[in-house]
Amino acid sequence: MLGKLIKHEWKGTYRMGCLMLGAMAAITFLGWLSFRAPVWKSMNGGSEASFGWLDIFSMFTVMIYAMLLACITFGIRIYLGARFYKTMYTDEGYLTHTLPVTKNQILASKILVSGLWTLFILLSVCLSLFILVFSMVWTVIPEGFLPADFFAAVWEMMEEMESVFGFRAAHFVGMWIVASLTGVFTSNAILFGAISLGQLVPRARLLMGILFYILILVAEQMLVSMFRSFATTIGVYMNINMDLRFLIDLLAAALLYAASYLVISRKLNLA
Amino acid sequence: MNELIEIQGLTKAYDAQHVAVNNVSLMLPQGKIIGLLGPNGSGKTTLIKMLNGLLTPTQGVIRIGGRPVGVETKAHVSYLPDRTYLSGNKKVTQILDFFCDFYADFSRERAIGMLGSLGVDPDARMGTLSKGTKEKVQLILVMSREADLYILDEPIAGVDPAARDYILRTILNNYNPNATVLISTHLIGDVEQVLDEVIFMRYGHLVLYTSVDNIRERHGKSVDAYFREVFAC
Repeated sequence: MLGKLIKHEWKGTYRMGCLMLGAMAAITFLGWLSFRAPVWKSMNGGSEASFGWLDIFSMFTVMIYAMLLACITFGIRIYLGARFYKTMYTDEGYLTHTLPVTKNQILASKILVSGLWTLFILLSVCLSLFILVFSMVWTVIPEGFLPADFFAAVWEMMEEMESVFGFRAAHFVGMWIVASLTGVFTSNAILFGAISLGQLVPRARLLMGILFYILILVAEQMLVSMFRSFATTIGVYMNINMDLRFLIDLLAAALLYAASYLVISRKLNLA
Repeated sequence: MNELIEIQGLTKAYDAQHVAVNNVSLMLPQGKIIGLLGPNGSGKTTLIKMLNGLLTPTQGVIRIGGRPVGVETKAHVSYLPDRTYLSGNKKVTQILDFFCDFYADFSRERAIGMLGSLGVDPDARMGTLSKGTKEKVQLILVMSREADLYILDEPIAGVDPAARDYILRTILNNYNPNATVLISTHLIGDVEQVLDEVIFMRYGHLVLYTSVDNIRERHGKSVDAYFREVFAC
């Protein structure tokens, strides 16, 4: 039954998910186009600076790109949260909770599918930023400078930090990848848990769910900051940063998954 | 007698002041059409929600076909809530696919046949249908299952008399004869002719559980007239 739940959850979300990915492709093209303006080329000193209407448009486009990028990143979160609330705790919940499936299967299907969409959006954001940074670097770098040189320079900088501060670059990058991959699922488990906790109050349940979500994020941040404050050097600080985020995220997700499970098992009260 | 539903000492208290269902015990047989009757706030919908696993009892036990309410009972109970619970974005045919996937006892052919007789296009989106048609589509979905228990919460409330006739006809022509149909309603006069037994509830308490014939023979009244007498304000 889990497979069927995943199939229908996917069918229910793919339209909006594809729309957001399409929007991401469009704004990436817009951003790339803006770096074709003469003003960027003039930054490497290769040509005379001429700040015309095209350059103003280019600057404006970059600003719009940044805004739209933020909108899509938050938009997918809002959409997935709203869908969870709608299918679990409004009239549509009458269908969801009378299906012959377990509560774990319901939650798992929602977290898995939402996690996949979050992952696709995350990958598209990374790809979009990469294309943009690369097209900007390509525009402003001096002649003869290869893209591989850019990555080599970044890695060299990290190695330098490793030798000076005791910062473990490979560990940091590895943990960043692991935390990002697990984070797409844990972040949704946390979001859904907060919305479920909102069901425990008698009134303004959705609003309370949002409030719980903000409080949980703040508490997580405070916890990470508290542990990080024990770091004596910048190297230790960087080394434990990703580990802490990963562990606290995992712990919060497990707790909030349990909260969601308890709410739909014992405290479900559809209007 | 072959009992389908066993309810023992069932209580649902939202808080100390609000006890929606109070120590109800019942044994309901297979193969009967049973009216769950009572004024507003009598606990009918709360009882129905507990039978469907949408509410957890504060106390007491429910068994359907000998099993506690859970995944297995949900596979054998066909439930019509008192509201539109299908997404307006979905096409009727997508909802049929959904029911086919989750309910082994769902007959797509029967549903298509009933939709056809009603003139509903399976490619229509739920959001484009009128309120009455949405309710009929929901009823068709529920009655297209070969369930052991049909639970219909206010199936004829808020619809015109012609639609009421259609709904009652649909229920009578399509339910599995070995199954039990539990119908909650205020409109007793309209459903009385199809009922075998009735349950009266008031303030969360079970007032009466008897056969329709018994009411007619012992009290010389229709169920509607007897209900008005029992629940006179």
